[in-house]
Amino acid sequence: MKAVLALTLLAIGASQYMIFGYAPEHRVQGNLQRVFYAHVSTALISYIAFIIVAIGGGMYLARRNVLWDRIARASALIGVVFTTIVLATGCIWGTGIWGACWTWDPRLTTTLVLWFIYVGYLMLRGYIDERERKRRVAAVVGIAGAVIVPINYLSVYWWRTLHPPSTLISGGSGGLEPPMLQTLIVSAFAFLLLFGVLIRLQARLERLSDSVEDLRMAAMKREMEMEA
Amino acid sequence: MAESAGAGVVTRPIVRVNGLRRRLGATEALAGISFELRRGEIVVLLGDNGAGKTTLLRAMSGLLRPGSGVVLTAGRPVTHSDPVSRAGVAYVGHRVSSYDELTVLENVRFAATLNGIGPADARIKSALRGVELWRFRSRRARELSRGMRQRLELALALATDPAVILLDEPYNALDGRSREAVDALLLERKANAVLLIATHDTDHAERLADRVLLLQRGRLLLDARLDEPGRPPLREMIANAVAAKTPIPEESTQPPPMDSLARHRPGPLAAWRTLVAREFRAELRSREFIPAMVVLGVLMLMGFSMAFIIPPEDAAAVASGSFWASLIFATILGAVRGFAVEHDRGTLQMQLLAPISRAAVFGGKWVVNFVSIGLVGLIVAAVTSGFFRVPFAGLGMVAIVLVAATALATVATLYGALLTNTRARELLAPVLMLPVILPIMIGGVAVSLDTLAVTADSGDPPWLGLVLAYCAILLSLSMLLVDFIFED
Repeated sequence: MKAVLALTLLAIGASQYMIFGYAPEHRVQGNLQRVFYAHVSTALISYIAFIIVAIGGGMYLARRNVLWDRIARASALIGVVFTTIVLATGCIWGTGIWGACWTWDPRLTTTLVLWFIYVGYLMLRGYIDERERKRRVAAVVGIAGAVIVPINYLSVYWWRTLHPPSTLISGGSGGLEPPMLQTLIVSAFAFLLLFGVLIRLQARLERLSDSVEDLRMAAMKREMEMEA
Repeated sequence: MAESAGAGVVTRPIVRVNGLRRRLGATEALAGISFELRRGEIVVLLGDNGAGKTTLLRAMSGLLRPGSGVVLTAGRPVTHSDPVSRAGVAYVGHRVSSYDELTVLENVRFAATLNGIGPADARIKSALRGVELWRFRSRRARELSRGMRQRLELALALATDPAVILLDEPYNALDGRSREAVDALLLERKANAVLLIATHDTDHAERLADRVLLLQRGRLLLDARLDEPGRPPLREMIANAVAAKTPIPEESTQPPPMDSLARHRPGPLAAWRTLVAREFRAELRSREFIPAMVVLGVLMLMGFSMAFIIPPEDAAAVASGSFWASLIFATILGAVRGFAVEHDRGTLQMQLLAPISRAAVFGGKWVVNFVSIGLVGLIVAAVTSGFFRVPFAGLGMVAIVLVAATALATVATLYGALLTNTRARELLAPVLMLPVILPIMIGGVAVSLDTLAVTADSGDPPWLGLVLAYCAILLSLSMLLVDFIFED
């Protein structure tokens, strides 16, 4: 774990250097374009996060192994944080380029919808007391919510939208100069490592939280038995 | 153990419970229970509150998924996802599962039909006569006394012609005469069935039972026949077992063959038709959902039309948005309540116990939600024309309302089922459903605007098709996941 953490810090440091010291200034958008590296990277990771929520939920339903539920929940939480970064960086970029922080563009709208779906997923878990039921219901909601992920991705192709199309997929480098593309790849790799570390830590936190709940319930049960 | 029974009768077991375990929170409600039941027995299940009696009976009925271990009826594991395994097994729990708005006879017919018995079958009349409710057959269930309602529960179970009858505290609300009548009925039934009855009443158990099981903290401490000569009094047997605290060991040998079981089952179409017919009959009588949804939709429209100052050129656009917002809120507050109400009243249990697939249960509610939302949509669309003075009720609108109703019914049924047993579900339902409904709303608004010729853009995607595709994906997912949704 320590080696992964060190590699993550190294990758984040490298990506920051490349964003601010290596990638050239955009001819039209100027330095504001540099927000694009964090924006696209976190958007990619949030897709991965929400797909993991669905896979974790499906695996939990099939195997009933609590580990899958912990991975799903951790992934949902980090996915929401990363989507918040996507929305915030998009707002910063939009204010400078479009002159508006927010517009009801299909890509922006479906991103906000995704954010709400997984905020709802996290809220739902707080409203069900019985743990087994909570995991089962959350798994179904996580799987159903993932339907929006491809809609969000394809929205820039289905609708005429202000949002630029996919940078990596459309036409090789997507019109990016090589240093920009290299910076984007390093940045995405750094965020991917960060996502992995956060998932691991959050899943461990979930396990500890479950253990605390078990101990609390056991103490309550013993107390009741002693009273009886 | 394999081929023995009391009074010299040799039969094969019809039920085998093997190493059954189940945790409820931090409590091990069942800690490895094993026993067998044979036709011709009345077995009484004794134990204090919290001993695990209800958990055991619910697991045996297929309502509750065991943590580990298995319940076999006639050699087939009873599971929530296998409707065949539940055929021939009846369970009467603590709560009433009959429908308030149906008559006594309609309730019993509904239960029987869901279990593959025809609505005119003689067993329906026989069950009602057995519990002395035949002369009250035309009375609505809500008009019955508590004791009569309890007897109706027994009739619902017996009308399905079960070979395994699981009864959880069936005497609770009964007076002395009714208890005797029920005892006589159960004794009559035991020739062709096995009855497992959970009770606290040791003296009653001693009079009625052929065999007794004692549960304590999820462990089986006693499994004894009461029809053997020279046995000590039951209270003494219980005291000895509690003092010894030695659980009956779990079965480990290869199980011998089991007795067969007649399993009546309705066809999938018949089950679906029965469920849908009941829904509409209940709604026609109670008028609980559709009128409230219509009034809510119209009130919201009124609010929108009064809240905005609308220039005539914008009337169509505002009307479109207001209509969809009103329909969606009416859907969330109305249609999502279907399963929740059934869960709260206990009636959902009757459907989940029947040997029909969970998909049929989901499908029954979906049809009703589709019709309700479609109807509300068409009425609110007509009112929108009047409020906003736009031609909002043409054939194009009918088409998009019906397409949207399929998608909205799917989301409402899915989340309604998921939220049945959730705190603050009225608040949580919009939070969870609105983001999933939003693509339907966007599609609906776009088609409405096209229909009203506000926007006629050939570059737009085929919205009607997209909404239908979205609905198909959600419906397929719901069908795949429905067994997990209704697991407990």
